[in-house]
Amino acid sequence: MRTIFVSFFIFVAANLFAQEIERKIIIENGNYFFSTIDDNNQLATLNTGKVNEAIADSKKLAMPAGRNYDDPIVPFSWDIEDTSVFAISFLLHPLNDRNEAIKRLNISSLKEWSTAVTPINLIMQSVETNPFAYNDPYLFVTRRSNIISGFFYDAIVTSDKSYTMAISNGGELSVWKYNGTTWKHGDIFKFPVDGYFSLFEKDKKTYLILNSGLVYEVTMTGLLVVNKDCGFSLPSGFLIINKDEKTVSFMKKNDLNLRTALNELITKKAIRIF
Amino acid sequence: MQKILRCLIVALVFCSQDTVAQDFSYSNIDLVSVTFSGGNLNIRKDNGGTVYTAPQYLTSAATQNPVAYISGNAPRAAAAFAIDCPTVPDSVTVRGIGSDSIIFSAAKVVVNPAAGTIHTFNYPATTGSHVFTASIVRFFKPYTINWEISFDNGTTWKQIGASNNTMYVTRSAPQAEGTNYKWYHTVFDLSCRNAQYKSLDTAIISKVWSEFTDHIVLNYNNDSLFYYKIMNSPNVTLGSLLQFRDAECYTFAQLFLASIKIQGVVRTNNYVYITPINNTVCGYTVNRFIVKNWNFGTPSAAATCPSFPYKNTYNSTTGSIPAPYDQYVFITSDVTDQSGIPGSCNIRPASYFNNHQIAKIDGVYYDACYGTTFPTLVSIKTAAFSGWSFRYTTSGTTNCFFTNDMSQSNLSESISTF
Repeated sequence: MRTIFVSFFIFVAANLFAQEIERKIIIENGNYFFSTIDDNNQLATLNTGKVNEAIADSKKLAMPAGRNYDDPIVPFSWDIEDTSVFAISFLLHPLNDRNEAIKRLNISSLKEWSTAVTPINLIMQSVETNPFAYNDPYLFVTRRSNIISGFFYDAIVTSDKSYTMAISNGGELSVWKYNGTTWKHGDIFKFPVDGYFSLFEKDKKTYLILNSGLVYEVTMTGLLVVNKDCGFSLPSGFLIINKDEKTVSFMKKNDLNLRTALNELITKKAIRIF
Repeated sequence: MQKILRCLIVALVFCSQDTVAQDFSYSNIDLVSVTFSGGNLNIRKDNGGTVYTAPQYLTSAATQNPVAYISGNAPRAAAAFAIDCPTVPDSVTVRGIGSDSIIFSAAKVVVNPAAGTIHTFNYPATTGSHVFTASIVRFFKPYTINWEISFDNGTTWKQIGASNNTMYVTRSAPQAEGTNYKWYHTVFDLSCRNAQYKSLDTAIISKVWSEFTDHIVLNYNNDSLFYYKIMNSPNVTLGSLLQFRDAECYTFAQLFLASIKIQGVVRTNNYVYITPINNTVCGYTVNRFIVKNWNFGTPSAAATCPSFPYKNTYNSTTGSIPAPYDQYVFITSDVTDQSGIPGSCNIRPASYFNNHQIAKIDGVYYDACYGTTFPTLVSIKTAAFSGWSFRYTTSGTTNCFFTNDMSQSNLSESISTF
């Protein structure tokens, strides 16, 4: 039994940070959060710790949610609001209903990875967890065109307390807001994308950053050009959404040092966007 | 001294057998290794995805590495030899006679002198005498090269060993690798084994598909690839199917399509995700279907939902297939799983689903895990399903409602390109 435990923790330590940070690091109330995806079972891990600590020491919480590895990859869409983590669980599993993919999980309910937390049970938990909202945006775009091409999405909780999603397929993009009861969507407009995009909020405005590094302001009627080309490609790193200091930055993957305190690393290496 | 005598005795024997033979020969020559080059394709190991390396043939190895070329190219091979004898000539002549009558032409090579009795010599990388016929799939198991040596500048030849490697020749250049689609060993093997001598897209597709129709899908090593050996298999990628030899539907569709892509056959919009259309019944969304056969007993929920009157319940924490993951376990059940449509290497795979992954080529739906084709989307439900279901979870219990009235829902399809 001892061997099993030792092997398990060696496995976790060896593999966790071989996995990439999905989209962003969120800093809130002095804590940081970021997610990673397991290469084999597609499940997400929510990593958390104090912002003045190194992320190598993060607490690793197993999430009953994740995303698949189909080409082109859509990184895990997740956000933190107070005590909840929101996630779009696009696991490939014959029981995982994409219409029920949007989950709201209480962070305190997440357990740290251990031998008692098995991937199969987490997948089952994910499948059976009632959705936060039915995934009307997904149904809408796939009914509009069942040819999946240029299909990407991201969603965040915005300051108006709505769950805001941008979703693209077939050269079209639309923006959706869920107020806890119903979905509303804006105009469907032509907006071909050639890779994934991410959403973030700053000063009560929602922004969309393309994989090319171009930033747009998101409105229900369309995307407004922001005179900002961040000069990097989104897949080369990850966003840092600092809700405490109300800043948005970007850090390249190569600049990530697991042994340096995160706030020190941000000061030295992050590129400020807003 | 004994070794010298042995060499001389062997030489005398050869002389007596063939009056036109060379004056002198060495019997104790060993083939050490063979390295293929010249545009051969990378082949990934099923187990972990690392690429097989050179030398592809190593006499000391228990198994030999496979080799792959694109048709229209000739193989190129180099070889290393060792000779155990105290005295050796400065040089010898070496050639190879390969399968498909491909000659690796004679080359005079230097024998590297050594202090002891074991000396080495290397046949240089040499392109075979002709190409594999363009646009034709070939499969050699094995591809043999009989190596020969001459001590008299090519007048007489003596065999000095044979190398055997599995060799795959693809019809065209394989499509570039992606995240899931990679040039795995079994992808080459399944494809070339079945599509041997084929050239046309349609013939290749048909022959590759034949691997799936008997419900016995084999990897390069003749090991079975199971559809739900463990009913709760977590494996959903081509790599995990080949590594663990047990996986879900997505992977069989991927294997079928990968085995076509490896021949350079291009078909877009070929990867189809099917799921109920999400119509609403009794206040809930229909989002499950059951694949034949399920037995419908006495309905207990007609008062709750007349159109979906059959009800099962299960523990939502463990799911409907709890450990040891070998059968459905319900708390209550009006509907029970029976043997029905067999899957790959499994006569009774999982059969209660939200979604299913199949391939679509030239308008035909190919369900690789069941080895069945369908002419239309709507024909799938009538041919393969026992019923529809919806479910909701309350207080740790999942309540599933079923109907065997197939008119109660339909399938939708999302089509992408694998």
